Amino acid sequence: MINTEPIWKSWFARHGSRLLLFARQQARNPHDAEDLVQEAFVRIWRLYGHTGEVAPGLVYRAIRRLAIDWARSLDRRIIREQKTFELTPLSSSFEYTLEKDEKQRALLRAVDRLPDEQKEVLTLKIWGELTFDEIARTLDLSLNTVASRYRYALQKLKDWVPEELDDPNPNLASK
Amino acid sequence: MNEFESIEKELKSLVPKSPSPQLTNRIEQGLGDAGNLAMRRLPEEIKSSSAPVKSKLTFFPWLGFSIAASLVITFLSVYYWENSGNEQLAPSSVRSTSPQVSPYEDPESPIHGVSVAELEAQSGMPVGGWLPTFQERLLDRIDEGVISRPGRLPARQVRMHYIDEILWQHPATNKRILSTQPRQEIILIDLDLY
Repeated sequence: MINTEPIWKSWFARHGSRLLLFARQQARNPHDAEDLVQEAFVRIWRLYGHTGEVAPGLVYRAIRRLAIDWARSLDRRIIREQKTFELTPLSSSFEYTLEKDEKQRALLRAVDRLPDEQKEVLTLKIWGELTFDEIARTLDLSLNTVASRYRYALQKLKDWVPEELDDPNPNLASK
Repeated sequence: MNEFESIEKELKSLVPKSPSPQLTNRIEQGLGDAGNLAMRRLPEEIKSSSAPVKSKLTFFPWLGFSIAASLVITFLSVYYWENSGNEQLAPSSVRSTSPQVSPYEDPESPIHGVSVAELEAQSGMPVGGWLPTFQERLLDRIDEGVISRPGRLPARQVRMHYIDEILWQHPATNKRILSTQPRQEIILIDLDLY
């Protein structure tokens, strides 16, 4: 008997963690981030999923647009205000392993210190594996802006990691 | 060499957390039929992460008819094959082996005027003890485009072509009958205006 599996499952297994990481930056709390990923993925897959392949950039873009729509929605704002979620750092969105060495922890703490606009470019480039052109379209920015934000982010991380190693803050990146 | 190569490499070594199974389940529910439009074959050793698709028995009312029709065709085929293949028999002997029409109706028999026992005797095929195995095979999937529906959201219409197979096996005699029936399904996927 031939086993079959819906293609979306393997697609989501490959890209789901990256989408969620990006959504965490757009939503600011884990529950909204999951809602964003679900809503964006279902919308895009319904439109293009019958072809068997969907460009990840489309889903990132849908997440971004939905996040903007939701942020404008009064209802969601009220709901969000009623929730008591603490703003969690981006570093908590990564797998924690015992093998993670001190340098990686310092790196995560440095990533948390980055400005949001640099963090989202870094996320899409490093973990989303999008091209600068795709990132520019996802974030509605110019190619130059995206490239310079990425470069600034890397430069800051390069400068900050040694600082973090010298003076670590144990409250961050330990979750 | 890129001055940031080493830090990029370290960043890439960090692994984002995987989505929870609950999120995957929610997506599966949200996709509904749209999630099953594109399927991939899995190698034998890989177990499907989802529950096995059970055969849809929506054609159950036709099942009895299909079984009866299959058996009749099989019996008649075997009967005629035996008679046509046996050249040594004289016309008179053929006539003598032709089935005797029963004076009564057997409600279990698929052939009018012939009892199940007579069918079994004539064809050499057992009537009872058949075990069915159902399988649904997807033959084709045709995207027929976006259709408009008065007063409702537009939908994408997808036509699915299936073959429903029933393999009847008789363990005692090691006989098998394969019955196939084509089926079409039209799936309408609601499209959100986005």
